[in-house]
Amino acid sequence: MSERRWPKAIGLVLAAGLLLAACGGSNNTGGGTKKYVVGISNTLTGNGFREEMICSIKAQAKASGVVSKVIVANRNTDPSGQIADVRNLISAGVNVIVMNPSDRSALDAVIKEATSKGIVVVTVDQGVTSSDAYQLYNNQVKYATLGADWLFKKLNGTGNVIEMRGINGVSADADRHTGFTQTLASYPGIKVVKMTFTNWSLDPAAQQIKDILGSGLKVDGIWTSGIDSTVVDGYTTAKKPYVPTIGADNDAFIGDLINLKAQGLSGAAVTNPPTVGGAGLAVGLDVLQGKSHPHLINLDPAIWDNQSTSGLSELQNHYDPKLNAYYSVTYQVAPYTTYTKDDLLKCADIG
Amino acid sequence: MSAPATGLRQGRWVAFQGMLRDRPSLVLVGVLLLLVLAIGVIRPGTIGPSWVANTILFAAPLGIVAAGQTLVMLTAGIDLSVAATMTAAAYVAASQSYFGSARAVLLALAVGLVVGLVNGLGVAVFRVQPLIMTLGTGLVISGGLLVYSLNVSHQGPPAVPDIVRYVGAGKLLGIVPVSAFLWAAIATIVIVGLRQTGYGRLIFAVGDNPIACRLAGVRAWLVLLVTYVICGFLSGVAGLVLVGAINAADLSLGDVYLLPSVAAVVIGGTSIYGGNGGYAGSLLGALILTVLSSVFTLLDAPDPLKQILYGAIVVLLAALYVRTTGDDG
Repeated sequence: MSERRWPKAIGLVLAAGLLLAACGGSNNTGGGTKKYVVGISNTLTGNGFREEMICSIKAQAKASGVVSKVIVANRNTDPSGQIADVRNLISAGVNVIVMNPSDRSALDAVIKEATSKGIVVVTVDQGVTSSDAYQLYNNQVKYATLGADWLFKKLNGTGNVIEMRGINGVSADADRHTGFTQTLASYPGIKVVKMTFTNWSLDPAAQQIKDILGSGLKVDGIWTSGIDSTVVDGYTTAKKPYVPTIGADNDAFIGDLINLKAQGLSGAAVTNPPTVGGAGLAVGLDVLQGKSHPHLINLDPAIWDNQSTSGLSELQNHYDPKLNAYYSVTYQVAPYTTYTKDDLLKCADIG
Repeated sequence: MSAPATGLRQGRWVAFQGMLRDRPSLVLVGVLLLLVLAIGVIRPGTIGPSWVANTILFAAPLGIVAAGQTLVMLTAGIDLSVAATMTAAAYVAASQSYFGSARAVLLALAVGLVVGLVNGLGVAVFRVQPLIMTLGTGLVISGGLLVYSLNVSHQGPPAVPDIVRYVGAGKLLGIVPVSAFLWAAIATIVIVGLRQTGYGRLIFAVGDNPIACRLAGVRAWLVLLVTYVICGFLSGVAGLVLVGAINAADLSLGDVYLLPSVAAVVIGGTSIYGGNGGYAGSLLGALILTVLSSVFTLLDAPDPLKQILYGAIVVLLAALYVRTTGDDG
């Protein structure tokens, strides 16, 4: 290419860039399929649930076939940091943002900023007050109601139970406590003899169950907000007879419910899929492609118990001994996600 | 009240203070007994051999990681990567157990050694501020662990190796925790090493006055390097003991140990300015913090109140130590 041709070439590149910008930052490939840029905003790192959530978004991006790039803003931060992250994603020219909101109302303004530029914003796992965003999350009140109801019925409506909650002050924990308390109201014979906050961490939960077992407190059943197999392990180590236990859809707990049934463990797992991330992206891409979705999608959790035949078969269908203890085994969120389990586990990215 | 009686009382108080100054650990033993008493009052019948065994079992990871933190803080440094190192060692051990226990344990310990070496080189050779250096290393480990977890976790079923499970949660004759022996061995080596060896004395000297040390021909950088390597190694050991006790690893298993590892050392009377303190205090500090969390589990009180009390008690303990021993750290 001679020197004189440079200005023309630059002009052509600029014109192409402007054309792309006019299309809202999306790229047109040779095949004519529209390619979208996806932004992810997450504010808690090193957390198994959140990492699986991000992997499900990447896997869905790959499975969709219409995503050209995924930009991840993932760090430990607060709402102000998340606002900055979302602004960066807007500047980077994304078409859809999937975020796990760190606050119910603080992000409303930045969501408005994004949607006014034609970006589709989907909040997953937790809700926001903004009416501009699409929201997709598990019904946490029902999560608690399902488990508590199963537990209290199992105890024939009488007995001492422990409520092992998550993090005090977090909306999911508050919603679950509401569900637990509502259910408790219908069972006057059930007494909550201890309530603890595990902070959704293994070590505090292990110490708490050790202390409670050592204190001689009479416990007939345990409801946990997700730190489940650690509690079962506390009973195993202390060589105490198991009591009915409620947990989440975590792999090791599912394994316990199957494998320790013969040793007297009864219990149920309630689903709380981190794969809401992938489902959120599927909704966002649908909206970009002109399909319609309601702005609020509340997922109904399911309960799998090890006493009924149907529950046990669900447990067996989802259990995978190769996974980490706290890997959530609700691999798909029907009818939204379309990736393969393998891509989810590998956290497969596009490309 | 007659003047001689007051004088006598004052004399006894001075003598009592003198005894506490000489044996500052007595204050901590007193606090520990008070907390145990509190549990006895909250839930009568709880305290017994099995309770003591379980408390030691859960205090062991904190006690071991606090040993490394004590050494580093004696040099006027701090290691904020200990929690991430514990998590990484625990996670590596659980994910590698498929290939054999020996490989799992050795790799977990190697993680600790490598982290310690990096911290040591940064602080001792490149003179990076310990707080920044170790904070940065902690973030690097957490990020690295995430990448590792995505790439290896599907090779085989994750499980805590039997030997690690035995050391972390096993009990001899059904009552004496195996981890107590490991902790006691580490405590003995650290306490005796600090008092009786040249390296031990150099840790105090470097922490007290690094410039004087350098002028006296001491290779202060080497002392620092070795100290951070030991701290990293002990964090790895603590991670193994922890994963043995919990029987599962996740990406944030050891995170809850970061602040307690520093709190145990400070409650134990080691100065954050270096050069003053020892491990006996940190050991008691670890036991106090573990018993304190038991008190709060058994106490039926609103959670915010528990948090306020926990913070207030930790501050009070640190202040009490200074008041009773007359040691201003």
